This record gives sequence, structure tokens and C-alpha cells, in this order.
Amino acid sequence: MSTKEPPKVNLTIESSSGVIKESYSLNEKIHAVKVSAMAKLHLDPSTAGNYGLFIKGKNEPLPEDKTLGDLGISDGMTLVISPLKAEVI
Amino acid sequence: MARRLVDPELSKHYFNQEVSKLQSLKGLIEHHGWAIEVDGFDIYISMYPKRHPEKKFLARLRCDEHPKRAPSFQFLDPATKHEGTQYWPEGDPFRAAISRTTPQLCIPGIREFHEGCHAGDSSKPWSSEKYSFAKILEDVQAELDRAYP
Repeated sequence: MSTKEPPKVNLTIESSSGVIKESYSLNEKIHAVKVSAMAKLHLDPSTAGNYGLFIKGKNEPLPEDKTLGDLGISDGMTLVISPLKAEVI
Repeated sequence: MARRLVDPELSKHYFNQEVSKLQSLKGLIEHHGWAIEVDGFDIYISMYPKRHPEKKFLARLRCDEHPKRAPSFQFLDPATKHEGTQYWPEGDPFRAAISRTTPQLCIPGIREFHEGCHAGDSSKPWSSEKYSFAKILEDVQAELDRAYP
């Protein structure tokens, strides 16, 4: 019996600390994509709650409980990890 | 005469490197709608709250003595580039900043934080590696977006 791999998309994810190009399953939830990308971008994943994952140019962060497929994220898109709040002291 | 902390040529070299890093983040710059202009050790950034693109602000990072000192941050008159509290946005951190004798935005990575309102706070030391120009600008942008929902 063969198991079929879920389809994948190649995404560019950018943050203030750099840019990565990665392949993700369309079944991957936004939260998991964000945390995994943060680790690769040397952003502390324990601070993930302070960041949102955005489609480039969009005002609202992607809902974290949805999958890439649910949100129609397609191959070649650029996403941005951006803080939702500064560390104001 | 004020003592120089960094050789100006060396400072310019590190500054140019950091500016190149910032300018290489094209997706991020496009995402926030920033227009960036560099003049000497000053970086001018035209920025606006995401949901209110009609409200334009001009920010300046003054990076003399980079990387020894954090960049100084001010909002300016977009037309003349003059400083003035009237050019600062609404919102808590910005109002708090201009309530001080000279505007001091209390966000780590900014000179006015490390040398002003939190001078001597060893829990958040200035580090050019930790607080890149892009990181500082994104923190300001996040507060600008929160100030104009």
C-alpha cells in the first residue's frame, strides 16, 4: 500500500533577521509554519506569541489554527513574520 | 570636544554593511510600505500605520558612532526634516516619548532608551547584533499600527 504525500508549497519567509526559502506541506498549520520559520531565522520561538505571520502587504496576520491549504497559500508566495507589539519599557 | 568612540571610517564601513542588510529585506520593506533614504549616518524612513496609509510620518535613525552606540530615533517634519514633538504620532509610547524633556522613545535598540530613559539598565544592553536597523523599525511600526487601529 502506498501513502500519498500531501502537496507542498515553496515559500519565501522574511523577517527583520533575514530571509528563508522553505517547502511546507499544505496541511501545515500557520502556527507551526511560524514557529519553525522563526527558529530558522534565529528568532526565539518562545516569543512566537509576539509575532504574526502575514501575507506580504496584508494588514492582518494569518489565523494560526488554519492550514496553509485552508488559506489558499500558493507556491512561490512571500510571507512576512512581523512583531505585533514592540517591547516598550 | 566630545570624545569619539569609533573611528569614523570604520563606523561608516559597519554602518554601510548594516544599511545593506536592511535594504536587502525587500519583502519586509514592501510589506510595511517603507521608503528609505540614506544621507551620511542618517537613515530617513517614510512610514505609515498599516490601516491608515494617509497618515505619513518621517522617522530618522541617526547612526553616528555605529556600532558602539545605538541609533538615535526621532520623528521629523516630512517636508523640512526638522525635529519637533508635533511630528510624533499618537499612541502610548510616542506620547510618553515626547512628554520627556527631549523626545525619548523607550524601545530597546534606540539610543534614547540605552543612554536616556534606561541608562544603566544592565538587563537590556545595547547590541548591534541583537538590535538591527530592521528590528528597530519593525518595533516602531508595530506600535504605529497599534496606535491607529
